[in-house]
Amino acid sequence: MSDSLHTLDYTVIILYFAAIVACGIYFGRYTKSTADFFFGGQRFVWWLIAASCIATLVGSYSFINYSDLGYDSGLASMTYYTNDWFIMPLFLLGWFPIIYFNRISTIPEYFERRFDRRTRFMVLILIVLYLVGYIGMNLQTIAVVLNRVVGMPVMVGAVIVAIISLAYMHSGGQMSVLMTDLFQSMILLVAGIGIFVLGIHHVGGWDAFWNGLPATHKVPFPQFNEPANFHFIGTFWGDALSGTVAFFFINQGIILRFLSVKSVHDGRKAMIVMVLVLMPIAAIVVSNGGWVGKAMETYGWPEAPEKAKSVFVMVMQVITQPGVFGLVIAALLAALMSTLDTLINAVSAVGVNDIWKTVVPGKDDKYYLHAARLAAVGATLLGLVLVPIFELDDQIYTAHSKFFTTILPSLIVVLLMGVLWSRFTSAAAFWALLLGSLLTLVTHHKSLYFLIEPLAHGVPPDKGYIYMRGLFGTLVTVALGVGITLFTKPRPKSDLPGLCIATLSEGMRLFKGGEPNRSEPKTSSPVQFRTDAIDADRVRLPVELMDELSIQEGDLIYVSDARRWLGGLRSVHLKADAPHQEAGVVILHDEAVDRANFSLELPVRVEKIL
Amino acid sequence: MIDQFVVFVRSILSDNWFAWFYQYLFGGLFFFGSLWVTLRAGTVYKRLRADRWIIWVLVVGFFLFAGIHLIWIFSVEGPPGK
Repeated sequence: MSDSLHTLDYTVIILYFAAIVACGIYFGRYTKSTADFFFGGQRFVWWLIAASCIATLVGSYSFINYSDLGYDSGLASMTYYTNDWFIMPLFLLGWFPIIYFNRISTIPEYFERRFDRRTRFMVLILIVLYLVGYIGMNLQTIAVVLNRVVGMPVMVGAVIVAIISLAYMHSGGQMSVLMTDLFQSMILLVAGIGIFVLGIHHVGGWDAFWNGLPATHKVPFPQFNEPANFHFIGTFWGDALSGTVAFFFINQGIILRFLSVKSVHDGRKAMIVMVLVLMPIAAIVVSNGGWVGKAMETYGWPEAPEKAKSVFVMVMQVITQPGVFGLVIAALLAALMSTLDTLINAVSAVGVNDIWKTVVPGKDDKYYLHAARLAAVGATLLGLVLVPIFELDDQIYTAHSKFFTTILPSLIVVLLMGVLWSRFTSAAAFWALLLGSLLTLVTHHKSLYFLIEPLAHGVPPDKGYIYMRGLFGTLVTVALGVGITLFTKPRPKSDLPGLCIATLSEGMRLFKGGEPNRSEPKTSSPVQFRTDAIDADRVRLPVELMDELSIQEGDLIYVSDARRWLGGLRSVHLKADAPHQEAGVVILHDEAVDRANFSLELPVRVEKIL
Repeated sequence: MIDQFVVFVRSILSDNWFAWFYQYLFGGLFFFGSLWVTLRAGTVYKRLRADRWIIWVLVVGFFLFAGIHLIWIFSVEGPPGK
């Protein structure tokens, strides 16, 4: 592939890397605490979160795999990105407010607060193994891409990418990840849509493209239960329900991203826009290389793509020009690096909050911020160590994926039962997770396929029921969870404030530190501010502004730079203090101004959050 | 038993129509079931316009996806049946 790269392509790729590092380091200067490092200070608005999530969602494998799938199966390759809506009520009205109002920073933390320490410990081990292995896989995938593009040795490529990612991750954490992912999302979407337009143009326009697709490639769903590696029933149970819950509920990177939003309402908006609008667009972006390839084949494209050489790469070589090809490679690298930086941040959060804080408790925030930066370096180094191991033996890579795909249904079921059913006991959670995972794992043995067969909907066992095993794991874990709960003593609801949907309103009260103000949220017009010697966590508003926004003393307030396009980058959450009589002026403490990164001469907006 | 049901339905419906009915029947049960459970638990303050908006968007989103898939299959394959 390196033969097909021109100087202009190299220039675009180098510019891309330089821009990513510059962007990450620039925004890293806003990181002053662990809350900034892990959650970006919980200050961002919905559109910034939604857009940046797309880069994380489009993973290291997406362009290559979905183009291959699109070539083989047509538009049905979009299925994985368009079947996520079913879990939205649970996420938006259940899980998201629970983690937000309880300020839960990691998944293991939820398991301890909802159940007990031993369940947290088990989940912690699983999550660390998963995340570190996944960092290794991402580094390896990027290095292999660089190897094919510029002929760089795999290990050298992995080290370079690790250094680049750390260059901005180390200083900025989530703040840098968010901003670079926003930038990378734009590259991904623009390049992906551009590829589609070029591809359609190449085959002779939309009609030629559409007519070039076989009838089987024009429908939205794959065949019902065959072939074994891609069929409707498998994608429904394995992806739409199980996979989507796994991605949005227990993916530590996504959890941290959604905790970066300024309010629950904005988080809900971000998720809605992402699933309803951006994910279908992303589906087109990652798959269209395969569709174009299929149409090109109809019109006599001389060589049918071989699996060894991805259809995506082959189509790009045909339809792109120097410079544009470089942009496509930059988009590919954007997909890879945006997933990698999110993972590093996730490991750092788990490492500090779940491990280091229990080993060395009671230190100040600066100490833990330093630990978080070191954890990011450590996670990347561990991932790097795994690259040559994955290179030596791809069975380790496969075993890692297979293990986690197998235990995921049990983890998901225990989490959802904990969220939905306040009577669900700690003993039931622990044993259902342990036994459910083990029982699902043993079904990989051929002699036990008969356990899955009744649920298989006619799917042939050729590939070992890669998807239908999830349905088995789900049902077994539910049965274990319900059975054990009925014979064990539950914790009283008062012990679970805000940790399940039945006690969510209590969580809201704890988050605010008082009774929530249930009036409609409103945002003010731009107003000037000045500083004074008031409490650093409080804001004093003029009496007429408090009336206009229905704000009461003690309410949680969001004060942001009046320029909306900043997306909340310069903002702060404060509590409303007693009103004052000075019309049109908001009074803040110097420390709050510093935390918010406000410019003294520029106006702000005020919004009631809770 | 599930196998026999699948064989029977595939004999009267194309795979795409079967997939559509299956997805929006079982997915719908999961979707509206979880919506009902969360609303019943009081996770939404219905007197607040912002909260009512979420419920409205959720329901509209469900029918939007179902509608787009339905029109898509209809335009390529015609009405349900073999």
